[in-house]
Amino acid sequence: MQRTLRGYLYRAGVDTGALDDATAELWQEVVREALRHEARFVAGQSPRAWLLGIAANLIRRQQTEISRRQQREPLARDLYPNDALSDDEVFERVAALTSIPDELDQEEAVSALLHDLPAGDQQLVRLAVLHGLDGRALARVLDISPGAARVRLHRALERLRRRHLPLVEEGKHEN
Amino acid sequence: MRTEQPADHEHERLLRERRAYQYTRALERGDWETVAAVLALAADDRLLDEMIAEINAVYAQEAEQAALTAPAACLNHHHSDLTAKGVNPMIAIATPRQPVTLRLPYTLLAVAAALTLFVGIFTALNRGGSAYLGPGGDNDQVGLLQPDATPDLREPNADRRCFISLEAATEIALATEAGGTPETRLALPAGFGFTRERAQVMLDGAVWSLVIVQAPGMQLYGWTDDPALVGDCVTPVAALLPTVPAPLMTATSVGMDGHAVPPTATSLPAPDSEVSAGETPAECIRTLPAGTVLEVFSEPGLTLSLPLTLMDTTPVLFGTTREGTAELTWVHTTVRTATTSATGWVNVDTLPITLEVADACETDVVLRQGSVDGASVLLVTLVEPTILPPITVTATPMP
Repeated sequence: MQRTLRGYLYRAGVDTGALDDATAELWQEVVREALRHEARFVAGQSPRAWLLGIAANLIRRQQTEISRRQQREPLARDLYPNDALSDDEVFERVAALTSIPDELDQEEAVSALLHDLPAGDQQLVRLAVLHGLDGRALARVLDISPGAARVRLHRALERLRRRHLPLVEEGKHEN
Repeated sequence: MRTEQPADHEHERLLRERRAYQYTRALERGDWETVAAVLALAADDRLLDEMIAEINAVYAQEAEQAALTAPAACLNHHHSDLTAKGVNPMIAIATPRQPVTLRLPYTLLAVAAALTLFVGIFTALNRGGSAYLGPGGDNDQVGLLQPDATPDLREPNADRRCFISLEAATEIALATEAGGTPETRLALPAGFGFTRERAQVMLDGAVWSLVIVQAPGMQLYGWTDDPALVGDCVTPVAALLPTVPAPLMTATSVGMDGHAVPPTATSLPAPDSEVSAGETPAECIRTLPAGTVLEVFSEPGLTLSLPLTLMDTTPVLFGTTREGTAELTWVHTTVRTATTSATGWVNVDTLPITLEVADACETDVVLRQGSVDGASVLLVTLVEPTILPPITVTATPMP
């Protein structure tokens, strides 16, 4: 659990030198909050997901406080002020490729989409889209862990979104 | 898609993949609200929960690699974007309630304690079994945690202990083990502060705390399930402990094997020796019945005393010296139980027995020594009471 919290804090931008202390403090807060709100835990739920949810909310609360102090917008909006597509839209567009009935048409659509991505990203997206491989299957093919396969795929989709899809939208508008 | 799958199964699979994607994206851009939202879904979806756990392992590994190679470049563009865009990263998560920021060691024991505590909570909430408790989990078994060693009561360990103050007057019952039968009860006023071990034990839905209570003439140590102790417990311990007069002797900790270095002062017996009236002819041991309430004063009628209730029949050592006037007679008293060491003056009229009965002294009885969690504990009265010459004493109201 603490290892995961450490990963969260690293993603949240905590300096690597302060990760140990921050992780310990966050863990203590999670424990405290969980004890305080243990009645909210529903039997049969995943304790791990519940505790991590508490941690995520604590981090969000802290970030909101910091943002408020700095009189800035929350980090998410700061980083992506002009998103053309949301994550859901990206996922839907890519997932929609799987429903193209004709194999040749599907191959053509995927190639057009992936042509300027790095080779590794292309392989990942093809395996996931054209061959319908889920995380575990991807992991077996690539000889990595299922989690690593998913993270790689998701980052490839993000690179795809940044490089290609907004331009595709602009092209459609121009036409 | 080339694999033939039922439509609803495929739909669910895609939905989980979408959730996992949202989770990853949210984590990478710092959208903790979405992270929490997906985790809430995962709490009810075992497969999604497993997918997220696999993803978390990747990010945890990245964080560890980053820590090893710091201040190497960030492992992905997002982190560099943070600094490139001038966004100040969150340096650390502060805990406003703590007056002092500590470097919490969080030993493996403490982590195991917290995890065991949660297993206990979820076991109690889910008697019917849960797939998330891990292999071999026994829903009837509750996590028990013992302190890794009987602590040195004279030198509290700031890493393991914290200070807690009562919000309201409370009667705390102390047992020699978590879940045990209380053998002492102590009435504490609102605002009274004492030390508690950070690690707590969950048993049958109750949280047990190991506490150390120190007051003039009295020291208690044991387990209690009082809900008042589950709350905020602050550090540092050393700075917040009530000031106690310097002891007349040096106490040393007793290890789990029961062996100890005897105290240097000779006025108190070594921990492994027995106290009986035969050793001190000027004293008399009498057994008091369960429910006896003793108010032990460091001086006759003066200073703070805390009502101490004996939950079981307890032998108590009385001095033969009496102090006071015809109205109030005080007797020097020593109480030693497994959780209590108290010595001071007690108003004779408050005792349930008559001390002056001839031949009532019990010669074949010894006072118990401290024993918590099966280990001998050196309970030392921190303030040696004053033996006063006969004077006229006017009892003053306690604060």
